[in-house]
Amino acid sequence: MADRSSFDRFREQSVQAWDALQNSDRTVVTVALHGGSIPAGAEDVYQGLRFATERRRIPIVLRQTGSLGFEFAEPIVQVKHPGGPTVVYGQVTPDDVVELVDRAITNGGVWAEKALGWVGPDGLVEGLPATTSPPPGGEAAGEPYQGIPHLRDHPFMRRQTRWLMRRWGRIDPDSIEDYIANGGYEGFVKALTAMTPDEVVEEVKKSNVRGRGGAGFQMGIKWESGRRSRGNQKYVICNGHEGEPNVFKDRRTFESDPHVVLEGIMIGCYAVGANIGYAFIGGEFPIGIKRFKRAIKEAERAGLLGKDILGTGFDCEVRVRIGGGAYISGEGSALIYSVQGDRPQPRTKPPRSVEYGLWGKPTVVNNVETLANAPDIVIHGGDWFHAIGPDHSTGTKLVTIAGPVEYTGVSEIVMDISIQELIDDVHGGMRRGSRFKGFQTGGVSGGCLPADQLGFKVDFEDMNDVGGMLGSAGFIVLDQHTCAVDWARYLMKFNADESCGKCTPCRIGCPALTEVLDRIRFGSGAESDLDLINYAGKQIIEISLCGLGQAAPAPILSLVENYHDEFLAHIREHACPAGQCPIEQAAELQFATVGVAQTLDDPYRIGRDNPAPYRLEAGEDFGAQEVSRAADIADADPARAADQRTDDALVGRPD
Amino acid sequence: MAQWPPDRTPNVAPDLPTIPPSAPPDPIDPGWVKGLMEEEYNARDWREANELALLALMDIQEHWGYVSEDAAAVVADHLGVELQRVYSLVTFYADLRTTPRAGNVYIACDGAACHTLGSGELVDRIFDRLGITHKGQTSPDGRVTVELWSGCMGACQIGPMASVNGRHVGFLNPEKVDRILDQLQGREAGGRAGRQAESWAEVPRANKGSAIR
Ligand SMILES: Cc1cc2nc3c(=O)[nH]c(=O)nc-3n(C[C@H](O)[C@H](O)[C@H](O)COP(=O)(O)O)c2cc1C
Ligand code: SF4
Ligand code: FES
Repeated sequence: MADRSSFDRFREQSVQAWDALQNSDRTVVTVALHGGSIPAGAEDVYQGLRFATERRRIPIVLRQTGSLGFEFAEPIVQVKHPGGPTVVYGQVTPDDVVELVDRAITNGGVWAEKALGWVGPDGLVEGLPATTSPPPGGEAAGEPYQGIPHLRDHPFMRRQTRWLMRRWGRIDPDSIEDYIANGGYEGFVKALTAMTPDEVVEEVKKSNVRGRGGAGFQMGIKWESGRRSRGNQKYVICNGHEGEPNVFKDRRTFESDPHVVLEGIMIGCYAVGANIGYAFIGGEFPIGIKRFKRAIKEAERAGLLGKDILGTGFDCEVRVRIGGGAYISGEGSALIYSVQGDRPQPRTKPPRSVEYGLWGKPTVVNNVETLANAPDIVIHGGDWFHAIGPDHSTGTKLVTIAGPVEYTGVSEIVMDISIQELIDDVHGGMRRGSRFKGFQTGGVSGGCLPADQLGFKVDFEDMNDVGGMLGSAGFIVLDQHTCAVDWARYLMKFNADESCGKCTPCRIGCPALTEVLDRIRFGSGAESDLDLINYAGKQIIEISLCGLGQAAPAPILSLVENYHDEFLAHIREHACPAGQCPIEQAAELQFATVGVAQTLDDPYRIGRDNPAPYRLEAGEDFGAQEVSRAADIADADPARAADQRTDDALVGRPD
Repeated sequence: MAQWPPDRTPNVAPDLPTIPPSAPPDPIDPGWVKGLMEEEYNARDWREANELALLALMDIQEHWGYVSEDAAAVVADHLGVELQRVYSLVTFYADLRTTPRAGNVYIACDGAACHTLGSGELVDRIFDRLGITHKGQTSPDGRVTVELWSGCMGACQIGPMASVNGRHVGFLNPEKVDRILDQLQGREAGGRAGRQAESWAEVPRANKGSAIR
C-alpha cells in the first residue's frame, strides 16, 4: 500500500465485507478447523455440511474459523440465521450433521440440546469500552435467545476475560480482510505513521508486560536494550516453538489468529530497528505453519510487508523457520542456533542475545503471546494495559490446563484469580471419578503443588513464592490415579530425553535421577535415595548451563517434599498407593540400568554409533555410577549384566 | 430445555476412525531431492543457506520418512554447506530419522495430559505386543514403526491419543490399540479384541506404569 489513506480504504472495504457477512440474507455456518478439532472430526463435519446443503440446495455461507478455546466441546459449529445472533453448537460429530441441518439450519431453528450458547455480533467481548478501561470480567451478557443462554454464561466463560482471544473463533484465519475488519493492523499502522520507535518502546515499557515464554522478563526492557544496542542489522525472533508436553496456547494462536502474531513481530521490528523478523514455529503444528505462511503472503500482497511500507520508508521482511522436534530449541540462545542451522545447544550468557544474537547481531527473542499483546498496547497505550490485573503481572494470560478436569481447552484470565478458582470456576473442576491430587506448574519445570497450596494466585510473583512457576501457563492437574513417583519419573525422563548434552550436570544428572526414581518405582529403592535426589538435584540446579538443567530437578524436589509419604510407601512397604508403579516387576529394572553397564564395558560405543555428536538417550552416560550406583547393581549380579550385554535392542540410537 | 450446559462427556466413546493404508516407503531418490532443492531452496547468501538446511531436511523427512546420508549430501552440496554440519542436524533433531521406517507409523502421544490419562500403559502394551523395546523401532515383522511423542500433539481433549499413519485417533484403550495393531499388521481384526467400551468413563485408566520407555 502506498500510504496511510490506501490502508484506510482497504480497511473500509474489509469492514463492508464483514458487515455484509454479518447481515447476510443467508444462514452463515462456521466450522472451527484447527489442530484440536480436526482430530475430533471437524473436517468431516465441514465436508458433510457442504455436501448435505449442496445436495438439498440450501443456500448457506460455509466458513472456517479457528479455536474458540472450548476444546472439550469440539467439533464446534456456529450457525447464524439472518437477523439472529450466532448460536454455538458443541460436539457436533460427523454423524450429527444431518440432524444439525434439519434442526438448526434449514428453517431458522435452533437445536437447544447441542447449544453451548449464543454470541452477539461483537463476539465475547460484548460492548467493550475499548480505550478507557480494562475489558469487562465475568458479568452476564444478555437474555437467553430461544431458551439458549449467552455463551458468556457458560461455566467455562464466567471467570474468563476474553481480550487477546477476542477474534478467535470468529474470523477466518486465512483472511486478512476479516482481521483488518476487526481492528487488525491498526496498531502497526499507528506505530508506523504516528509514533517514533522510541515512543513505541516507551509505551511497551509503561505497560509492564512480562514475557509469556517462561522467564517472565519485561518486554519493554528487552526492546529498549535491543533498540540501544548498535548494529547495522538487527533481528526480531518470535519464539513459537512450544515444545513443552502440555501447552498448546501458542499453536492455537497461530491457528486462530495468525495475523496478530505477524503484527506483533512487525511492531517489534519497527521498535528495535530491525528489518528482518523471524517466526520460529514447531514442526508439530502444520496447520499453524500453513496459516502463518499464508498470513505473510497476504500481508505482502496488501503492502503491509516489504519495502517502503505505507510510504514511510520502513522495510520489513518476515521469514518462517521450522523446528525439528527438540524441546531445547525453545531456549533463547538455542533457538538462535536453530534458526542459524546449527545444533540448538544453548551457550553461556553474557553476551545476551540482544547484544550478540542471530549471526552475531542484536536480536530480540519474544514469545508468541508476548508479541500478540504489542498491537493492543500500541493502540490503547501502555497505561491502559497496565491497569489490567495486578501491578507485577499486567494484562491477560492464556492458560491451558491438561489432565482430568471437566473443561479442557484454552482459557484467558486476568492474573488475579487463585489456582483453586482457576481449576474450579474456569476449568470446571475435576471430572467425575477423579479426586484432586496435585497441580503441576510451569510445564515440566515448576513445582507440583498439593491441595493446601491452591490459595495462591496465578501470577508471576505468587507462583514463584510458593515454589511453582507461571512459565508458559501450561498446567497439569493430577488425580488419585497418578502416582507421585511415576509422575516424577515421567518429568525427569522427559528432561533427560530432551537434554542437549552440552553440559555435564544435566547430561549425566538427569538420566541418573531417572534411574534413581526408577529404582523407587520398581520397589528397590532405599531411604537414602531421597537424600541422593535432594543432593544431586540441587547440584544440577546449581551448575547447569541453561534453563533446562536449572529447572529439571525442581518438580522432583517439590514432589519428594510434598508427597514424602508416597515415596516412603514405595521404599518401606514396597507398595504403590496409586496402584500405578510396576512394583512387582523388579526384574525389569535391568532396562533402566543396562545402558550404564554397557557403556562402562565399551566406552567407545557412543562415538561409534553416533558419527556426529549425539542426542542423549537414557543410560548412555559415562560415569553415572558415582551418583546412581547403577553399576553396583550390575556388579552384584554378573549373570544379569551378561544378559544385558547381549541385549542389542537397547544399544545406541533406536533407528 | 435440556440440561445446560450440555454434558461434557459424549455418551458413547467415539469409535476408531478409518486408518488410511500406507505403502512401504521407497529408498530416497536423490534426483527428487535435487529437484526439491533447486525449486525451493535457493539461498540469497551463505547465512540463508545455513538457515535453509533444516527446512530442507524436514521436507525430505516428511516426504520419505527419513533422511539418508546421500540425501543429506545432496542438501549440503546444493546449499554449499559442509556435509557434517547438515548431518549433525539429522542426528540431533527428534523428528529426523536416519533409517527408513515401516509402511505403518504409529506415533503414540506421551505428552503430560495423555500420560495422566494412561498412555504409559498403552505404550507398554504396544511394545510388548510388537516385541520392541525402544521408541523409534520397527516391529520384527517389518510392518509397524512405533514412535513416542514426548511433547503434546495438541489434541489433549481426546487423550490418550495417537497418530496412526497420519490420522489422529483418540480415547484409546487397550482394546482399541489391539484393533489398530491388528489392522496395521494385516491380521483379522478382533483377534484379541474384547467388547467395545460403551462409555467414555469406561475407558480404563493406567494401573501400571511403563517399565520400558
Ligand atoms: C528449556 C527451555 C525451553 C523453552 N521453550 C520455550 C518455548 O517453547 N517457547 C517460548 O516461547 N519460550 C521458551 N523458553 C523461554 C525462552 O528461553 C525465552 O525466555 C522466551 O522465548 C523469551 O520470550 P518472552 O520474554 O516473550 O517470554 C524456553 C526456555 C528454556 C530454558
Ligand atoms: S543444562 Fe542441559 S539442555 Fe542446558 S545446556 Fe546443559 S545439557 Fe544442554
Ligand atoms: S498430551 Fe497428548 S495430545 Fe496433548
